[in-house]
Amino acid sequence: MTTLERLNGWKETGIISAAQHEILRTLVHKERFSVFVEINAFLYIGVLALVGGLGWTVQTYFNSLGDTFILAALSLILAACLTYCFSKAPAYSNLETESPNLVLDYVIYLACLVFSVELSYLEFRFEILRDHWPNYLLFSTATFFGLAYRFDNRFVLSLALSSLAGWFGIRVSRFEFIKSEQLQLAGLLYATVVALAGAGLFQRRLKKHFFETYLHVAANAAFVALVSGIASEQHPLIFFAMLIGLSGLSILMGIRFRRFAFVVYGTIYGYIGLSIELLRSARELAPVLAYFILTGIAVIALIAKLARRLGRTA
Amino acid sequence: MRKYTETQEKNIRLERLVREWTRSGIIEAQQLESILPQLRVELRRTNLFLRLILFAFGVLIISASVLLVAVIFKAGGNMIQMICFVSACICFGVAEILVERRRLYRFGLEEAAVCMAVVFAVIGSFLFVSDTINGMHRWAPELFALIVASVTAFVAYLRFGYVYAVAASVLCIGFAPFETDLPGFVQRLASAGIFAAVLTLSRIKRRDYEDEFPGDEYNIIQSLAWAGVYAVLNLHLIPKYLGSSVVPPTFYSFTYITVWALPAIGIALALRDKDRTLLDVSLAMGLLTFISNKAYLSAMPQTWDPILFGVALLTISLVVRRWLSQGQDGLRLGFTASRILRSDSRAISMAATISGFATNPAAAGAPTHSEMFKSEGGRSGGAGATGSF
Repeated sequence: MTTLERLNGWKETGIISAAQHEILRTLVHKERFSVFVEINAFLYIGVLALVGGLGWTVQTYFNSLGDTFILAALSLILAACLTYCFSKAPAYSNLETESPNLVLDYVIYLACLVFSVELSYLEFRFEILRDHWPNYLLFSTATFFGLAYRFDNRFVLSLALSSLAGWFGIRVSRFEFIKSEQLQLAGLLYATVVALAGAGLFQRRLKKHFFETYLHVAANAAFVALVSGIASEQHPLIFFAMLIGLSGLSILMGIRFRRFAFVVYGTIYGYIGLSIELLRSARELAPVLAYFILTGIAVIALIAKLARRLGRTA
Repeated sequence: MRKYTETQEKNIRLERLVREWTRSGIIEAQQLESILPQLRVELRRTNLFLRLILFAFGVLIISASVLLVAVIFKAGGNMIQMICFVSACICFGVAEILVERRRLYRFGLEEAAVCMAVVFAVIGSFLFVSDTINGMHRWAPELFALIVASVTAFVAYLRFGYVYAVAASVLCIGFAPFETDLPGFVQRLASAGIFAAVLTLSRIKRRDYEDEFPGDEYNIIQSLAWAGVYAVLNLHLIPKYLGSSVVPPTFYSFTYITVWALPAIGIALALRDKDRTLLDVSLAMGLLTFISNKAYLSAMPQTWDPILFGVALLTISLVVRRWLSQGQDGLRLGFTASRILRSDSRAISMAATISGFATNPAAAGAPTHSEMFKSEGGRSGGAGATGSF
């Protein structure tokens, strides 16, 4: 039986109305085919290419173009983007607001990236903050947070969170494992600040739908810092105790609120940390392999039990 | 041949669609409750996240078990090959039992067993032909391993219906010519020929089903084969892995025309059939053609190339969006720029969360002052202004 035949059956038995049947028929027959995602992808890649090219051009030709021209051009783009966004965006609301058009989200994203290029150029040429350069990141973070909330934009929120990570000294884009104890603490502090900020804003009902983004970022930062703390052999037991606590919390909350990505974080990071700690003094391969088999079976048994309890729809 | 019946596969796909329609507000939750009993299948499933955990730990247990056997028996040489082949058979058997008795469907565990069966068969075959007899290899080990991988992955697809298995199978057989001693351009032609054959077969098979099961699977195979033809014929795409781009001039010109023609044909076919997978693959191919164009023409890359590329993409997107939205009900020729299903927004929202960390230069960490101003030999000559920022 085809999908269309099923739809006809549901209409005849009165499960769906004629109007719903018509909408679904056009979708199944592809009489209404959305290219929403494709247009979004093109806009996103277009913005990235444009800003990448701007940065590359400025970096290569700053001497022949001159500071005035470069700063004027970047400021003009920034001003044009911001003017467009403030003129087109609906009034601010604490609730989730849909963009009036597809373009707005990417124009504000473009504005933020151009702002980053301009700030970097200013410091590069005029050395205003010199050794206090990271404070630019704090300034960027505050600006991006403001714009993310004003325009309800996750792209900009993500920029804000990553700028804040940069200010804390966490190198996230290079996928470098946090090495020094100082950075592990910075990672934990960053995760705490992000989680608390997210929770605080959620409590105040400010863009509640952003809360999950904060939690994903905070959870990953905290777990990476803790696992690397266990691996670094400096106060491993403290990190281990914290990791086990956080893993348990992540799994429990993930199940309770049906956010299963957090169950994955808790299980995988927790298992890695536990394995590092327990196998630290292992010298023979056979016991290590036996450990993986036994603990692996235990994890599978628990997850399979959980999966059975939750069923498919979870 | 397949462990799951056609009705089960169709019901599962339709259930997924109905849930998406509910999330998108097209049908009500009560209506969903009335529909679901009609689509019920007696199979045990789970959500994506738990499936991932079960898969990961399944792979861990199987790998550790086989290694443990090898360690206990101090296996070496022929014994390792035997352990691999026996393990492959056991894994396949375990998967059969899990599906038959436990009625698992995309549960992670049975998938881990099937995947490890393929991996062990490939490792065993590779080791088997790597053995030397009088200083000579039995056969080209890499080529043999790729063929075995393709065959076993295809069997896994036929039996369990894993689309990623057939994708692996197509890729392995498609790239097999690169493990032969043929001249570089002949390797590429042979590889393109294999991908084209897969493409033709999958398109023919798809005609009978359109988007209904198993047409959706043929659709993915077709798009993958289309991308494969493009990947091996674009000489500047992955030259490091597919060999030198130094080829006879005629072949070079032929590939240049092809890398422009393939995305155009793909987009035309995809728009005609409203085939999303093929459309996305062809659009990506089109972007790659633009990116590799200068390399093809041996032209010097300019710093403003990305700006022009970005402006071109933004212009195309805006023109298409505007043109579509000006149609009746925001619809032209059956296409709309509006979001219909909620899953579209979810995908973008997920990409947005990751994007800041992937694209923000600040996320690389605050550079020290000396790092920032280290000289990289900028091209301007005046006032010592040579550096990077």
